[in-house]
Amino acid sequence: MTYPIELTINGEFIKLDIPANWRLIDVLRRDLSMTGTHEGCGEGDCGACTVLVNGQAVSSCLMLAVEANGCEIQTIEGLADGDILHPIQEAFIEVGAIQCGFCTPGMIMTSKALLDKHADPSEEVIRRTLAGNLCRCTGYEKIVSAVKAVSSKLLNQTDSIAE
Amino acid sequence: MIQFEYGCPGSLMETTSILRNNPEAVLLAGGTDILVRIKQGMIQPAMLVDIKSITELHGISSIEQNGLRIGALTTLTELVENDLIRNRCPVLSAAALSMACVQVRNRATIGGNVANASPAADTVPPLMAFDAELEIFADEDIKRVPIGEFFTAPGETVLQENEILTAILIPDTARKAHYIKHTLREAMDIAGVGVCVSRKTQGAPDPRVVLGAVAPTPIRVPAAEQFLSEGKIEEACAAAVDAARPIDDVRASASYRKDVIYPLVKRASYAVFAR
Repeated sequence: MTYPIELTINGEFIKLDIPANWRLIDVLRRDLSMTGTHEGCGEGDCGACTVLVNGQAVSSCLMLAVEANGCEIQTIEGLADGDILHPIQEAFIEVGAIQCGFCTPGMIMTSKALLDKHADPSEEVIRRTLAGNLCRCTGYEKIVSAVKAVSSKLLNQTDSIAE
Repeated sequence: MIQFEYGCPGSLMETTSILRNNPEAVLLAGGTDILVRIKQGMIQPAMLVDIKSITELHGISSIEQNGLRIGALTTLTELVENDLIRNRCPVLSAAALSMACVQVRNRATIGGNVANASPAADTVPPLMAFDAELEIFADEDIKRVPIGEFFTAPGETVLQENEILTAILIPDTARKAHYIKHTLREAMDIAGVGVCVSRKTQGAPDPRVVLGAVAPTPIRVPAAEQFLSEGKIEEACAAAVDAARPIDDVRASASYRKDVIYPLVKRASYAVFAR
């Protein structure tokens, strides 16, 4: 048996018929071939599958696709504007916060949810917010630096607009 | 993942009728525990009944003079961020913030944390330290059960098959409380030992001492509470150690758990009784 759902993914309205046991990550990766969202543990421990649901960071392995009915989903694919990368993506590259890259989409989506809400989080808040995103390469220092760099950049932009 | 059906009722009555017709159905709230258990093969529900569309299960409101009604579907993130909770029961915000990660806190609910009946559930010691009551929809009626009478064993409660936990009630928030979650990792860990101590902010202190993760259910320790009301903190700590019945598991040995209860109760008691 399948269930009809309607949702918005990266601004695009989508209708699907899916089995109840498909998770949100299954729809993204298998049905829509959006493979930027990665599956690590599949149990909500590693954060690699993080997407934004109505603006909140959520593990897409711990949410059924039927539960996403009516929701607005943002994935890593929706961040860049054509060839122009999102400031968080740019900062990760500039600072060198990417090594193998497996955790990066989840790291960036969790960071985006944080920065959308708090333009200037403290290092403590950044570290606590990213606690559910595991990285086995970088040692985290450069990831935290990248989030700090982008927050000061975003703040400067807001300042110049205000001026 | 195994196959199952999905129901998304809009009311409590509709939910109980689905449950009556589908004895193998399981309620789905945040899903952060249940989907992991399905994946690991620990449960095989024929149907998941998603209760998130039921409006009366959402929301945090003021009741009576100092009380709070916390809808069962209140997420851990809402417990962390909601002003009513932060102002009147900050210990519950702190306990919620200590749990899992932001991705999970955005989905996981207080009702799920309580109804799953883990001995290590972090919201439960603070709720017991405030004499919380559980509002349960049963037989088309609402009843109240003191949280201390709710848990019967690990994962087991007095909740019957067609009953639904609808809200957590804190009748009087005029207490000062302190919760200590003892873990081996700083983040993303489950309590090895949890200790919550509270006292009334006015009049006689009427203390509560609650231990988590050291018995089949979270427990209150009346003997320790009696000692605390007499100002005997060391004796209260010893009574808490006596009352604990911990087990060995992956997070800690039983003897380690016994050892840390004493200093944790002492720290929590000083935090609450310090002037």
